[in-house]
Amino acid sequence: MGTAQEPPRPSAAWNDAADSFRRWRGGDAAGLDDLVRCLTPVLWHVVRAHGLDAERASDVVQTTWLVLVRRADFITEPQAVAAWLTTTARREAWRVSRAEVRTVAVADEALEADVPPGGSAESVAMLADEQSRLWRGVRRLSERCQRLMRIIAFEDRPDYRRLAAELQMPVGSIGPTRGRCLEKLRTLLGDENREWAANA
Amino acid sequence: MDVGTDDDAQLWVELADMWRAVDPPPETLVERVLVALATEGLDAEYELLSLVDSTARLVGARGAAEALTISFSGASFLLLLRVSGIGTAFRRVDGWVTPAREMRVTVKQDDRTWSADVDGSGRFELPRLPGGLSRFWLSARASAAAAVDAEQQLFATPTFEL
Repeated sequence: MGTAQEPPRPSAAWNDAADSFRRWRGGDAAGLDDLVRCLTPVLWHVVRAHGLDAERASDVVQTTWLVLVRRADFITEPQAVAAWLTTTARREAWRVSRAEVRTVAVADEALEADVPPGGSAESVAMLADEQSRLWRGVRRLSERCQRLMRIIAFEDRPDYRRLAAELQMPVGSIGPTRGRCLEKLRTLLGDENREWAANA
Repeated sequence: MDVGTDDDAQLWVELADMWRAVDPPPETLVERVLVALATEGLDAEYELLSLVDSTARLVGARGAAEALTISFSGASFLLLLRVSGIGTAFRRVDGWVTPAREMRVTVKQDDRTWSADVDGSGRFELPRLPGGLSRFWLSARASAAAAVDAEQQLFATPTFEL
């Protein structure tokens, strides 16, 4: 049984990031803006895969960029900037997900239900049929599968050692687990197809 | 390496597209980051505090009765903020630093700042600030710094919406 294929390299984004970084370090301030616009969505998805709520995920993304600005001199290879950013974001996300602090409750607060790292009812309702099928299938996978797959879908060759630590799995099992998650997803999607066909 | 490689590759692309559709980043996130980077003071070394909890969003117009709490953590202390609305445009902030430490707190918004002293109990107040993107800076006061063998003298929260 073969292992699952490497996902297609998000190479366009990775190359754009390298170009933007080069321009920024070369003195063009707009390069930093472009870098932020290009990679913030990727960082968002990778961070949300750790199960953080929207507010904490946003904060981790912001922290990641601040760290980049402070440490940019240490990044000697522009092609590595995207990997550096995703690694930093995941490290911070993992750290924050472990912090548990109870704050003073305020009786008068109006609490708005936070959007789970899945999606709001509205955004799910607006999905095209294909995507909502996929969404339903993914939701039925284990938490571990969902996290693993979201990170892999957005990263260019994620660091398996770090993934292993975050998901508390042996490094050697990441690849096979990825394959099993994909297989399980296909089975779930296939089941749905069969039900659909049977009821048609 | 594999059988069905095209199908797998396609599935990964579809998965990414799905998550983009289901759970996009907040619209203001990029702007928030750009503002934070623009106001970043790179001169001094400081410790960046992390948001650990926030009883979130006020829905609709803020009234005097509504408040939210936000907490940030650093290596050696916790910063708690209680933010109350004054009308729609202004805020009152009551803050605590625990363990208590005498510091100076400065809030920066664009090019405006407000400051207050953190007292011996770790408390401070900023009675009236405009709402908006803000960053809280804390600096150890000279007397406290002498008593506490702290490596870090300057701390800052990320930029956040007050």
